[in-house]
Amino acid sequence: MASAWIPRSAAVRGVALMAVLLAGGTSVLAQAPAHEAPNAPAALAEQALAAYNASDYPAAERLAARYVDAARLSGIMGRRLAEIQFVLGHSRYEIQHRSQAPYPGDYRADVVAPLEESFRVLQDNAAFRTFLLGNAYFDLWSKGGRRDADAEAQAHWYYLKSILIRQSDALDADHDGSDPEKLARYFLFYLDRCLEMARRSATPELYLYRIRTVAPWGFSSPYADRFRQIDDLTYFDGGNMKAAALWQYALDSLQDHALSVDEMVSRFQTAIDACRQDHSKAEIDRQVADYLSVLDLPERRKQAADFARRAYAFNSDDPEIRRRSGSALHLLSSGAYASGHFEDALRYAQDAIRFDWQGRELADFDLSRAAAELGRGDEAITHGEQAYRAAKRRADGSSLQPYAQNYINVLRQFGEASLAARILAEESSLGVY
Amino acid sequence: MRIRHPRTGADRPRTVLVAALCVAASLRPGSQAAVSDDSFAATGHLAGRYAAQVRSFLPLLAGAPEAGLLSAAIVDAHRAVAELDRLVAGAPILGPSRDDVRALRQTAAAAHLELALLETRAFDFDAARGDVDRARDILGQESTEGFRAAWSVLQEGAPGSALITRSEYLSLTEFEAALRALWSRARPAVFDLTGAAARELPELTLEAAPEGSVQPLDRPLVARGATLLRRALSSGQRTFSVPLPPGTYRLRSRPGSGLERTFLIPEAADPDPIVLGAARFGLTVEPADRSRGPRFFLNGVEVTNLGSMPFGYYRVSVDESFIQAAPERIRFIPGLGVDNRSRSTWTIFIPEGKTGELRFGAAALGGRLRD
Repeated sequence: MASAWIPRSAAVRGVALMAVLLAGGTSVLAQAPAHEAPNAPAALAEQALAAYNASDYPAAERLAARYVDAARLSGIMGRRLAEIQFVLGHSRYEIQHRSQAPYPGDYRADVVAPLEESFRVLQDNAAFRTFLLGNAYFDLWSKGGRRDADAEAQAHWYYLKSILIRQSDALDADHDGSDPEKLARYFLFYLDRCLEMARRSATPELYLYRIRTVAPWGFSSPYADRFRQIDDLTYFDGGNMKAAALWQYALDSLQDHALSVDEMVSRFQTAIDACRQDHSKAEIDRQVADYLSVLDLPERRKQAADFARRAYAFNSDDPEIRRRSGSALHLLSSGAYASGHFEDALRYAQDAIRFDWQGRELADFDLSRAAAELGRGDEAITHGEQAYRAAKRRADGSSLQPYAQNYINVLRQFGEASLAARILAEESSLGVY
Repeated sequence: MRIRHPRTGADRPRTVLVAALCVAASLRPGSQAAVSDDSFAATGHLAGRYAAQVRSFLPLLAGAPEAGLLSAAIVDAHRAVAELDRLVAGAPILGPSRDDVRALRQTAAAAHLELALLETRAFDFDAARGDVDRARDILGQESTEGFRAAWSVLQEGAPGSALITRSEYLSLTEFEAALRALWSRARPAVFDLTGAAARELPELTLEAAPEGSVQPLDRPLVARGATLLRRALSSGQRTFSVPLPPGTYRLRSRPGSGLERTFLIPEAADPDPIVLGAARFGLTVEPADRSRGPRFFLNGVEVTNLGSMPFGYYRVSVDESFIQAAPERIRFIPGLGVDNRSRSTWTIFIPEGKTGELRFGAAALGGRLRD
């Protein structure tokens, strides 16, 4: 039996592992036997273990490195060497994780290799060891510009192996009461890593099958919505997993309020560029238009309209896209009108009445008042009436008031006072004047 | 992770994962037998998960996966199968029921066969044979009863809907036979496109002729062949080999390019190289008789219009009572050169657009015998 100390009760073991994951472990004192010189390999090993158990990773790394060098010189092999190799690799991993600087040496040789060599000998606590190896390979892949297909494959494999072992362990521990929620979190972590790797992988389609296999395991967990969301991604854009992963990345980025709008838009744009199907591009374009519209920043209105227009060009059949495109143009027209740019207001409104969309009366309204400002009586009256009639069918009370008022205004402005008076009488309850 | 002091005394033997799981379970209070069963159930569960990883890639084969994608899937499948092998090797002799052990063996064997199918699609037939052998070893004599492995898996689904998976399962014998059919049926078809205009090549497509005899089992190989051809072309190759199962195929570029060829991959012999180009030549033949030949077959399809023939390798069929000493095969090459005539094969040079004359030996009294 291996010598790593983990309580055998799976429930306790899980808690212990999680605690180690989160806090870096607790100490088990180890002291050099009195009869050994402090620089003897055995003493170095004890000191390395003591430092490691105390989460003193710099000291553990230093001592473990000396032990491994000494072991190689003196031909020491076996379990003890494997233990200290694990201490060495894990300590370096932790040190690097806490550092913001690029790794100064050869990450594969210094961090990954000791962990892997150790795992070949020590198979105990395999879920944790493989999880750590997955992380180490993932870091190697990330640090290498996310191009190393071998590191990517290894990272995925160790992550997968980790959750499979963990799942089987949980099955084994069911008598003690395992923690399905914790297991679901590990599955989610695996799936999130899959999505992250799919974004840059040379073989992103592979993740489609990987995700489809694992995502359903979480459908009955407290995080079922997220699992379903990830599972649904495998159907996006005809199974284009790279585009799906990029899209999800952009959507998740919306939670990051520190991210600049330009960076956010850029992430969505990357996803759009990766799409193959028009309706997928249209959907993301629409979402960007929505996002930019919600910001309600005057300088983003034109950008919102551009995305909405592109969405419409890709998929003009979608009512939601038509509505978004029309709304965006309405916002632009309103903005231009408010700032006295009546030609622009007219142009945007003319664009918005070229297609049918829910709320099109807004476009007629915009067109009417912009045309009125430019002295184009026929257009002002025609579209003013259309806006008023359409709004009357759909709305009443205060929401109808602006349409009625505008219609009355343009009628008066262009010599139709009697008709204006009739409308005024009809809609007096709206507060028109 | 915490690490404690090593135990004193002799090192225990290295344990594999299964043993570790079993010992871990045995440390819990309770019935020893029940613990052992639970541990083996966990082993079976883990084996099932690894096997599912291999099977999860089979839907890839419904299409024509890129070589990189297929080889990455195979790498993953190899890893899963290696884990299964370890679980099988570590299965305790005493403890679990025979049914449980047999289920574990069948799970591992099925994964090996499914890996063999992936390898076959990647044209790594040697590795595939190795995996079939390994599957047979794992199953032994006792575990073949009721054994099935997935030969094909098709998936349909949509966001918000359950994934529908249709699988075709075969027994060991059926699986082996189907794989062997794929291994033996694919024949190397050599393509020579040096005479084709480069601008036409991107549009060149290869497909099974609708009227052809490509078997449903062979369709994945056809798709794979088409992919390999496209890949060779896009990498700038003009002469290359693509394995194809027997059947009739059509190779063509855009209409009017002159690049179109229907060809046959025979069951029992290696096919002639398929030479594709827009150049044509004419041929007059002496002696000739409409009913007695000679007849010319280009890649298995008869060419009857001798006024406009594509260059390439022709098989010659004659009535030996009428024509003597005809070769089996004639290669027509565009340009000027020295003809070569051996007993079975002739090489004839004819400038593009010109008409060459082919003289065969007339059989003695051949014409009169006809009467």
